[in-house]
Amino acid sequence: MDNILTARGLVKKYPKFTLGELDFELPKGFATALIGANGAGKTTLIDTLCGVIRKTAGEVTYFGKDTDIDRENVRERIGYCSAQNFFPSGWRACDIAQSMSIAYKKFDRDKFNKLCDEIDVDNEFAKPPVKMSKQSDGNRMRTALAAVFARETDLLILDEPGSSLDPLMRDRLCDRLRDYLDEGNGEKSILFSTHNIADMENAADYAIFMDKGRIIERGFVEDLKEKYVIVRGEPSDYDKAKAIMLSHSVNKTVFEGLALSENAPKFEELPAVCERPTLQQLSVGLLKFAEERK
Amino acid sequence: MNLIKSYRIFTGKGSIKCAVIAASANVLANVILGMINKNVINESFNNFVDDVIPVISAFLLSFTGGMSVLEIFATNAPEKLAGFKYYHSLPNSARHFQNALILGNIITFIATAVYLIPAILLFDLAMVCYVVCFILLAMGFLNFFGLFNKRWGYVVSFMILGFAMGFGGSYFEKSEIPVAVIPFIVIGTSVIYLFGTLFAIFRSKSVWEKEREK
Repeated sequence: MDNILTARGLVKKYPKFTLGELDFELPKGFATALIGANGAGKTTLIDTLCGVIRKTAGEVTYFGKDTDIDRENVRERIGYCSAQNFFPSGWRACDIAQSMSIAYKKFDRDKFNKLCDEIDVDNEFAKPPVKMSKQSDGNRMRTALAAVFARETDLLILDEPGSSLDPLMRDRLCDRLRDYLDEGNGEKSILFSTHNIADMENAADYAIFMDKGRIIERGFVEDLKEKYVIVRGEPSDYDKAKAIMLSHSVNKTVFEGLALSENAPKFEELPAVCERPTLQQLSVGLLKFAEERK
Repeated sequence: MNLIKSYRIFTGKGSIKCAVIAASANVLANVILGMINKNVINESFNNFVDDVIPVISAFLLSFTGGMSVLEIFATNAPEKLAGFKYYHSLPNSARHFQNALILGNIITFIATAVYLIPAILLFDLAMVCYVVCFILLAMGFLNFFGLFNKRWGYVVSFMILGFAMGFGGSYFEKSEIPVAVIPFIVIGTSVIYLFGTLFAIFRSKSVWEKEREK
């Protein structure tokens, strides 16, 4: 399988936090969800991949051949936006349209205005124009997404795109991401980060789970759902079950946890029910496991 | 690479238009008041136009020029401030930053040149020299300290410029300054301008890249 991006030995060091060493690939033609709790290093990883901050060590290969993020043709092919304060606070939609139409060769100004109208935010002709600082977090995010989708790109890298959006808008975003991949015919890819995968589960084909700057699990979502099971049973069986589970919790009525599916026959003896996990359940289970393992 | 395009990448829409409007308004005011001053004999009015209007012009022109570059320096903000990620994700952002600074200074130069043409004809030469010297001094300091983008730098700049405005304004009044001194003041402020500006332009790319290292 082709990879749109490959990272080897990737490290970014801060005084109180270190990202890496990371080795991973993003499969071409798929949407990858980067999942982790707050402070896991998702934003640091994304900013490093997009060249917003410099990596400390390691190598990243883009589109199978380029290793230098500062090359113009690499940056032209990557569509990046972040959740918080992406554009200058004093800017309006007209400033964004003006700046991006100059900065990027393949920014479609008409498409930007059309997308703004579709998602109900100011386009560049809005009167009176409203500054980013006066808009809600959700509208700022929508404007940033409209700007990135208005460019012709091969790889979308979105940092927490759903965080400020309402459920309806998140659902539309998932559709938009699907359309982007379909239009690309296997040549376009997406990486998006989230700390709440529940609303964006339909958008993810591949998942990378992070905790404290390290990757703890990765793989195609369907394969991961085969690899793990969610176990539920009676509280009286909890003590026997927890030895086999990766992460677990119990209350007065039920215990629940995440386990490897290869251990499923052991749970049948208890008895306990094993189910295919959702991505949300997988996220919670794996992140809890990583936290408890420390 | 087109300097105007680089400037617009950082400032969006309308910033150059604002500078043109401000510079034009200044020239217009100078022309109107200067022509009236030539034809009306009224001591209070003549003193006001001869002594105060050039000081206001010096302030306005250096404000116009200063804003043209300070707006660019402000984009080299720390990672947490709005716009950092947008600017640093752009292709060739360091080169655009440098180009934008160059254009900011060109805007100041053009605004000053446009002011000079009628001013030499309508005002006392000493006061016109004061305006030019003040702009050179202001831009030299703002270019130098603007690159560091630190509050203390701006405080130092504005303190020196405030002193220069008040002291210089009275010193340059027609009866006060020996003519022989003026060229040295012009040369001195030109050196300050060249040093500050060239330092900012040549160091701009490395300073821009340094923000990504943090």
